[in-house]
Amino acid sequence: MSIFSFGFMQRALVAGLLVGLVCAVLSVYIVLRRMAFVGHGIGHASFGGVALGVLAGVNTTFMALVFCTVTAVAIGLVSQRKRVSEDSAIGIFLVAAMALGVLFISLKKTFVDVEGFLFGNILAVSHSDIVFIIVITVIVLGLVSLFFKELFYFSFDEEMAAVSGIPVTFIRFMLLILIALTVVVAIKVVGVILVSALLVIPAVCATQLTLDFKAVMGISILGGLIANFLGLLLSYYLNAPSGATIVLVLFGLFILSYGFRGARERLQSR
Amino acid sequence: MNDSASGIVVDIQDLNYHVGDLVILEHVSLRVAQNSFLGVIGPNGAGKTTLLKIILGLVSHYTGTVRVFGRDPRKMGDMRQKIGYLPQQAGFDRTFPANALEVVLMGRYGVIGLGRRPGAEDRRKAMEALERVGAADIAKRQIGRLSGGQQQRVFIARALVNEPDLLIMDEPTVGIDTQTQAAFTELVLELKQMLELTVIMVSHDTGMVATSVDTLACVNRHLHFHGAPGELTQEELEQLYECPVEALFHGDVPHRVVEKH
Ligand SMILES: Nc1ncnc2c1ncn2[C@@H]1O[C@H](COP(=O)(O)OP(=O)(O)O)[C@@H](O)[C@H]1O
Ligand SMILES: [Mg+2]
Repeated sequence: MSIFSFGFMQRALVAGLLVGLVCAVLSVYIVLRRMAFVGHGIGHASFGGVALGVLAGVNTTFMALVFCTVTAVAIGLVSQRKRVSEDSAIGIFLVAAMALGVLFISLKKTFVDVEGFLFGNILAVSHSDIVFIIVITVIVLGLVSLFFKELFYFSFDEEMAAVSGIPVTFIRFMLLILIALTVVVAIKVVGVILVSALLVIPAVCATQLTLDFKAVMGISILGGLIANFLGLLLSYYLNAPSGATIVLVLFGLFILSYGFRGARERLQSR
Repeated sequence: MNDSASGIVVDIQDLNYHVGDLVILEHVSLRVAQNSFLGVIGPNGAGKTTLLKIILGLVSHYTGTVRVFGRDPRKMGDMRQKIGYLPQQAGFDRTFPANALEVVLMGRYGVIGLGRRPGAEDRRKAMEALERVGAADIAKRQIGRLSGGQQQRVFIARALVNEPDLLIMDEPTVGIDTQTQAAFTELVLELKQMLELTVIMVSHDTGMVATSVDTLACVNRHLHFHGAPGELTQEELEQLYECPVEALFHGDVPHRVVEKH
């Protein structure tokens, strides 16, 4: 395909597929644990980090990483005490980090590519971004396969997992930090606003189609890859924003899988 | 002194537990002998589940001494596998993608260790546990699609998969029809006999408690009664539930606890 002869398109494709992959893997745990709001909250927190990076003249990705990780740990700590629910904790950190971001940007009286953070710009992915994405992908996939069974049990029933000797506190924080790392790279592709779509929709599609855990994982990954690939192509030919196109393709996949399930259930009940 | 040698599986001395100002358990002392069947009854919010969680090492900030197999339950290590636990109506997601066999295998995860997958031996043990509770035929069915009674059997199988010495159950028959409850009682007694278990069971089903257990503990923040079921008088029971109660343990047919309107 000729469009992929452009260096920037090659990088966009690699970035899109890797981000689609890691997001799809984590989406399974996010959906089964009913923590869809987490990706949303951590994503918005990154805005504060990026803005601080701009203000202080520090690498923005690095600052986003710091902000997201701190937010993830804070969400874990606050909700662990059970005095504040996980939802509320996320809601609070989300707005605080966004507000900080707005404040930092207003202090820096120069042009800041706010739109890039908000909606992503996959065509602007650089070589160092690709290296960063690969590193994060290896970390996420490595830890998820190492703790595959622990994450499975943890998602099913956290308290019983603890009774059976699973280190649930470690698993909980590990999952939050992996989400934080993933959010930072996914922002390059779809932006802060849309990042939670990649962290939720693939697994929702998969759970419509199967009740087998490994199949859920497989279908979710497939959905994430297809959406990022198709979305990227479509956005190129339609000259549409890439992040929004990818998310709309994902949404289309959701409608399809939802309809498929409905049709199958109607056939079965006949 | 080694408690497990002396035949005492659970030894609780002057246990107190409170969260903030709320006193949940106060001056509770209790011993559970090896191979005995202890029934725990008491009204809602009496602290029954909390008591079980303390025995399991899930609750830490209490005062007093608790020993399970002679060990502090908060520092059981591998001894944890000697306890099987059936939680109060598992609050899991009905659409969760796991089948019965996978749920039973979860019980093995702590034994298998980090970074390793369940192998043939684990699968064999899980199937064996399912067979023991008469649920081998539903091994491949999705957990959320099973009936309440079937799910309960699967969770018992998970509790038994590591061949524990102590089985702890929290209101296992809530939400299950009377007939299934009777079958469940049979199963528990059979398993206790066959596997030489010590059993602690919290129950609302006072009928089952009256006919099956060796000792009874009535908890309502304090331990109100501890002894053989037959020794409990109606007055004591009414005092415990703070409401009129039908005679339970006298006469032929055990009755339920009912409130007078
Ligand atoms: N972590 C906790 N924080 C605050 N209150 C608690 C906590 N755990 C239990 N409780 C309270 O302790 C009391 C006993 O609860 P529980 O042991 O579940 O009772 P039961 O199982 O007998 O119905 C209840 O009033 C409950 O609200
Ligand atoms: Mg309870």
